[in-house]
Amino acid sequence: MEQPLSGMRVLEVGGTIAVAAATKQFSDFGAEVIKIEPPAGGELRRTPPFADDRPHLDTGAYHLALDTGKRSLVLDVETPSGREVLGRLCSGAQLLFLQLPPEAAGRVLGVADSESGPSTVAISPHGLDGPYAGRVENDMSMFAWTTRMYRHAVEADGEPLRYAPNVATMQVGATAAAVGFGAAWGQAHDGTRRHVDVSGVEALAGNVDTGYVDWVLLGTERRARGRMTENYPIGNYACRDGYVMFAATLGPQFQRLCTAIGHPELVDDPRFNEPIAKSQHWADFMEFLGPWLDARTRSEVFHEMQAHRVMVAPVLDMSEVTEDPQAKARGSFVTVEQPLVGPVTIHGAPFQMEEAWEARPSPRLGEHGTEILDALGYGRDEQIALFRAGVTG
Amino acid sequence: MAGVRIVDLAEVHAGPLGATLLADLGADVIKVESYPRNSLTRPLRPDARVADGPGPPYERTAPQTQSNRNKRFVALNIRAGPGADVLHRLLDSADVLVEGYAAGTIQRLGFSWDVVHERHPRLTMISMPAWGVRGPYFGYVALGSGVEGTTGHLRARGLPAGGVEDIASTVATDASAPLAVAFASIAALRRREETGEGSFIDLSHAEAFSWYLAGLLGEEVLAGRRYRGQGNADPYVVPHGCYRASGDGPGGSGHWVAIAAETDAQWAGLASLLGHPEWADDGHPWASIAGRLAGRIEIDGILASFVRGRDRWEVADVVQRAGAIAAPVLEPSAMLASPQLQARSWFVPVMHRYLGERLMPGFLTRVAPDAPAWERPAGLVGEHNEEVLSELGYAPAAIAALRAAGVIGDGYGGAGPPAAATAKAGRPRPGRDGGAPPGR
Repeated sequence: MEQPLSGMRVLEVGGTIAVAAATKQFSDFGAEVIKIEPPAGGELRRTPPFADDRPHLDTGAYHLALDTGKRSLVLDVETPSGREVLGRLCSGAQLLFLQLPPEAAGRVLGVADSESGPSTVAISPHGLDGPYAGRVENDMSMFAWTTRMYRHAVEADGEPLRYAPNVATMQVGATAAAVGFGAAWGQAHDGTRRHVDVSGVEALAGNVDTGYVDWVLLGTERRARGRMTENYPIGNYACRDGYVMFAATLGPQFQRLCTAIGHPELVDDPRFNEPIAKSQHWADFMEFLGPWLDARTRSEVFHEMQAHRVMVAPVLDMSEVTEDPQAKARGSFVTVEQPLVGPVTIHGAPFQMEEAWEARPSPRLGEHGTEILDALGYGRDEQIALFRAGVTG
Repeated sequence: MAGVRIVDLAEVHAGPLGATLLADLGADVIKVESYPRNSLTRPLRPDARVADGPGPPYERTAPQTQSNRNKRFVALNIRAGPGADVLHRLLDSADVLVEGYAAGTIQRLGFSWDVVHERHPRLTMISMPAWGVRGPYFGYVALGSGVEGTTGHLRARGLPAGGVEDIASTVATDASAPLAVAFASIAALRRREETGEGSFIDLSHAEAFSWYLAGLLGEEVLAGRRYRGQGNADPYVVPHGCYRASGDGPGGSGHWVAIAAETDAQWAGLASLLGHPEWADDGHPWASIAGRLAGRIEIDGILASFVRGRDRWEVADVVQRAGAIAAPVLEPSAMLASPQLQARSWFVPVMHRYLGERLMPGFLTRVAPDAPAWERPAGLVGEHNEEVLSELGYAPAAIAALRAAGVIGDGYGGAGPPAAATAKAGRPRPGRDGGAPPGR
């Protein structure tokens, strides 16, 4: 069986994390992805961390994880010569992903704009038009616009916080991939080229984990609230070897939790059996739950509670996630032999489908320039001229 | 996605929003809601947090409203023989089935992949329990907050000196799983063009999200370092953080501005704005990135003083004009004031029978020439029972019989429209467990 996306050609322009995240989804499921990179490598290859903390365009974690299986062509699309090459690439492609400042994006979109051209997906922080279209943002400032930061403050009056670095940016890339795939599917069936304009702010604010819909429906603006002691248990609780995350406040969940800790009678205890009384007796309840947790590891809490169908999960360090029994059984992580670095463990498929997904090594900057230009019909004299003029690299 | 039919059997956010994203692109999505057991996002409790308005409270919850536009709604008891027949007829006409029960539940309901694939060979089935179907956590239940705990992300948020207790829960995995649902659906449709058959997709919320953590995993496996929450700081960029501005935010919080200068040019712009262009001149220690890293605390203090007492929008505007990175940190109500979102007409006025007109968030992306439209608000329980069953070939009398037998319905717990009164058998008891729990 072929990979589900084999036969598709996808182009990536801009060298950013978001655009590389978008095309990775195509590459690992079998599409041919040509990564068109600026001569200096771009954001993705420059973002830390790096193998052994030695910064290098070919050894960064984002490059090794997100450029899997792609072919790399260095091409300055800011020159007419570069755009002529891009035009030839476009005529055989189904999708073009790009992230560039608005004017440069416009020029690249112009190249793709022919009847045989691909559908296009342009990623930017604010979209291609509007008063902020030219603004430069980063992972943090883009996130600030989306209402999510306040929810992630540690204290009610403390500094609002972003997710871990680049997680929001990755979500923008994944959004572009999903909608872009829809556009390509549509074009294959109705012949209509589609143009997708992905504003990072809109992609994040239109998804869940914002507070906007709560506010527009309920009038409440949820803030960080620290330990919840009105309704419980919810949030992170210490046990013997770390923390577990509870979401067991509601009737049946709370009832099962009381059973799991050997105190089913607490459900009918007047301190806990209705919301107002319960909100005043968190400390009393912890006299039962606290010692039970203290006597158990995260794993024991998890399995014993889940046997009673209580929503609880272990809080794992990044150093522990690859050893998680579920991850190991499912192959949630894979090891790729990367030519310059050796074996590198990265995350596996975003969903599991038979014989569908494979992570191949990431290309060195410009690794496939000659073979790509050969296939496009450029003679060696033309290739030398392009190189000498600094258009390729 | 016109011509593609999706059956959404999922609850809460992840599966439903995934189906909605396909609906936004033209797919015909039919949501089959559990009946007579109500879903988690349709609470019957009198103290449930719902919007003001007429009609049953379970029609006015935020998650139900947010993640279910552009679908038709059927409420069906698939445990009952005739209800299972309705679902099979629906699956005959469908391309993708999305279900999010705890692993094992769908088998007990009689819709295992083996059964589904045998009877509907062209149908793709996406099963999406919290940690996926296969593996030792089979049957385990979680919300997004719990899934995040096992990915490593929860432990990588928060402040360097803060306690783990204080790290707020997120539903970040509920935002990533829908994107995987949409992508997986189209991948399976494409494969079907080769094989003629549907695919089984085992979608773990943890895996759909975890690859966003490429950098954090790289800290461990490439640099050999334990990554811990660093707040908004970036170890390689100064300044990079949020600074308190004037004014009060929600719940007694302040207003804040996010500011960063990643390059020498951005720093030079910021230095000029601060009245000290010489801080970017050759020879000044802060002119170089290395010098700014060494001066982190002092530079942070200077920016904090500059921002204090000023309006967050104004600060963001002047810093942006000076050539550096800045954004006001917005709470929901403030997002409406964004000149950018206004200029792009991002918010969408949506009329809902019980909620009235509300300004809902816009689409995740713009698409031309056929832009997504909010054609249907989140549906009411069983709103399209007749329409959908008629299309499947059920005569009016047969539909009436199904309703009388409690196989379909349009209300829960006796609080719904009149038809609910006929659904006596197996009515869920408020506040109690009404059967197999959803995986989500």
